[in-house]
Amino acid sequence: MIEVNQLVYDYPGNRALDQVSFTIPKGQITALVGPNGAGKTTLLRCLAALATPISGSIRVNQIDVLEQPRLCHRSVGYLSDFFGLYEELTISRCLSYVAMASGMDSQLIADAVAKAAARLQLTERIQQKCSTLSRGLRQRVAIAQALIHEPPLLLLDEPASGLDPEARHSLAKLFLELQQDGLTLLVSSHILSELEDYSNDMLILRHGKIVEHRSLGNNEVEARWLKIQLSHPIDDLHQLLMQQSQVEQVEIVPGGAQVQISGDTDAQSALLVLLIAAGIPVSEYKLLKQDLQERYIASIEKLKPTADKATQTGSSDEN
Amino acid sequence: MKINPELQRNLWLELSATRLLSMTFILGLIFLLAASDNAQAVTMVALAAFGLLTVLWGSRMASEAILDEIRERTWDMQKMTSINPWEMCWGKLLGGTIYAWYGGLISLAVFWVASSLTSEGANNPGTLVFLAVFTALLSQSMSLLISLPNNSGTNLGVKSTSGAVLAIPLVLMAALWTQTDESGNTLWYGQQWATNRFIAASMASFCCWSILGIYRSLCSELQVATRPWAWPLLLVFITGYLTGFSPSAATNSPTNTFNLFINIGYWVSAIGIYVTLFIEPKDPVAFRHLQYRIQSRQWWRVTTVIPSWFSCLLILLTFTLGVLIFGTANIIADLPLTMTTTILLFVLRDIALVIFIHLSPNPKRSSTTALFSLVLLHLLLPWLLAVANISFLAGLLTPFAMKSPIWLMPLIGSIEAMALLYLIKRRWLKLFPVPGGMPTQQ
Repeated sequence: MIEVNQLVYDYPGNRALDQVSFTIPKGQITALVGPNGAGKTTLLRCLAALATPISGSIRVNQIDVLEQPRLCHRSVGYLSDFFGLYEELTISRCLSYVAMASGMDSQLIADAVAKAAARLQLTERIQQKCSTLSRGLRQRVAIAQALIHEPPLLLLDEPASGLDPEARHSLAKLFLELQQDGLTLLVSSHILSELEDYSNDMLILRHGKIVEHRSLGNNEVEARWLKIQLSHPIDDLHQLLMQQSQVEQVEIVPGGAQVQISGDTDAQSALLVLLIAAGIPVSEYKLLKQDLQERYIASIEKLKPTADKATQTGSSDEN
Repeated sequence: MKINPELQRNLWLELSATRLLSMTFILGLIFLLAASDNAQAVTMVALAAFGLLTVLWGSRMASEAILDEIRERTWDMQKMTSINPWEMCWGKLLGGTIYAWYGGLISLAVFWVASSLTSEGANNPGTLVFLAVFTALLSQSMSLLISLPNNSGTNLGVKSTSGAVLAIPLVLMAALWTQTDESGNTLWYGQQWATNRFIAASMASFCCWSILGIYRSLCSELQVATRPWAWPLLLVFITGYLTGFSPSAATNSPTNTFNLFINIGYWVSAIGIYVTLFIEPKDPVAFRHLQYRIQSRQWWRVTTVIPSWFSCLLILLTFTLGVLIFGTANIIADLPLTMTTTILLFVLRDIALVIFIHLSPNPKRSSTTALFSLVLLHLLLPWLLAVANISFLAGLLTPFAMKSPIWLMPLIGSIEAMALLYLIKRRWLKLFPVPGGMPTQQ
């Protein structure tokens, strides 16, 4: 759905995007994460054909964005971080305007408005003026506007900022529904907890560069942490656990231990058999799911020695 | 029938029943009061009401039509729609001012009726109505044009209210340019034109240019590629328009008229360069786009990112050649032919100076610094040198230093322009060192 290749974007005196390349397949919800000033908004604006990069290429839904920016707009719905609504218009008129402005046939507009309002649960308030809506509802109207022309790709910049927990939960649910409808979503945020509920993969942007693009699924072979709870405490638990071949690291915690093992679910199962055989009174045995925050930090930590080294090399070159 | 979406949105916002009734009631009351006092006064009051509503208030509304979108953060959403630049232009120009026009049209209708009913009604009310409508349209379109963002994403910083004020000089200019004979007619290219009609036609022409300007700016905002032909064409049009007022044009001497056309064109295009130089983005990013297109030989795309001052420079070069070939440099400013080349070289120096300033590592307030530098070079420093009785040195700063050796001036202009080009190259390489200077090709 999205193919970005060697993208470079400069602001006066500052490179916002530096040789950015990545691909996002259709139907994914991708979390675009990174610290403030990493270039997330600039990247989204380039994908939405609202900002023109100096070089590189972008293809969205098979459309060359730099060659055909106007055509690209038909395939993209974009919600900016500070979006605006026409305060004095009703939701119905706001949606009708965007539908008309999207070139929709006048006979189809009423149906499109009703469909978008229903999708975003705005039907009951459709005659309400935007100026009277709460932040969460305004967000829904803005998303309805971005979706009314039924684009296959939705770009959202910090969609949950300023929303209360209930509205955030409802937004996450909506994104999953949109994904089920076949849409591809790219959602930027620096609040990682909100992305966790619906993202399939994570794109980490730092200092204008893609640091990592990884899947957030649970089926990959990687180091994993397990929580082992005991029915009663035993001596030399640490030593017993470390004797098992799959175990790489052990942390003793109250009532048991947390162990890091290498391998997949088969290794996880084999370890349980070995622990029982070794007479360890296991009462609870479960995988500790690494949350998005931890994965992000882990990715950043992995980079630090390289970055530090690069900085040192840079300074020694200068000296 | 497909209605213009932007116009429709403005109709929803502006024309509520309450607002329509209020305007009708207030205007009705005003005209009734004027008629009760003096029936003749109604025509004057109606015309004044039209001016207030459409020229002053309407210009403000036209300006707000775009500034509101930027302020309320709806501009990005509009830019992503399928509305084309022409639809957006008319939707904003007519839609944004529709309420002012509603009141204005009531006033004009009252003016027309009152003029036909009173024995001392306005002479030729049809022309007056035409003039009034185009004055309002010109003023509104200028306000909208000034408020539009430029290519770099920022508007010119002109507040909405000043849009109307800026449009007024243009309205006056059309009146001042006219030369009337004993019978009160305007002489243009030796032909007699009724002054009112001539001013109205001038307004209509400049109105078209203003609307074309809005369209071109919107093309840039809505990412519709354009070529740099509008500014050169405008400069040629202004040259032709001004040439018509000269006495030589009036005497129907084609040779003199042609010579005058070349001379006026020379000065108009020089001024055009400075105008475009200051209203277009000159940051390194804009130049990198151009550099990238040239180095990757995307010639068709080069024409879409080439700055307007460059196309104006080509027009200046053409007029300079014309002046040099036909030897007519002394018609307007009594300048020797050498000065024609000198001025061109100093214009090149000024372009290089302005770009050099905009490439500084800290580009904040570059435009102000550039403007101040030009005033310093062409006005303040030569004046100080004259006061100090060393005015021959002023030739180092401005081509208009008459006490400097005339043969030396082109040389000075060339050296300064070359020196600044060298400095630009150094500053560019400092900003974008060669190894990482050119981004990877697509």
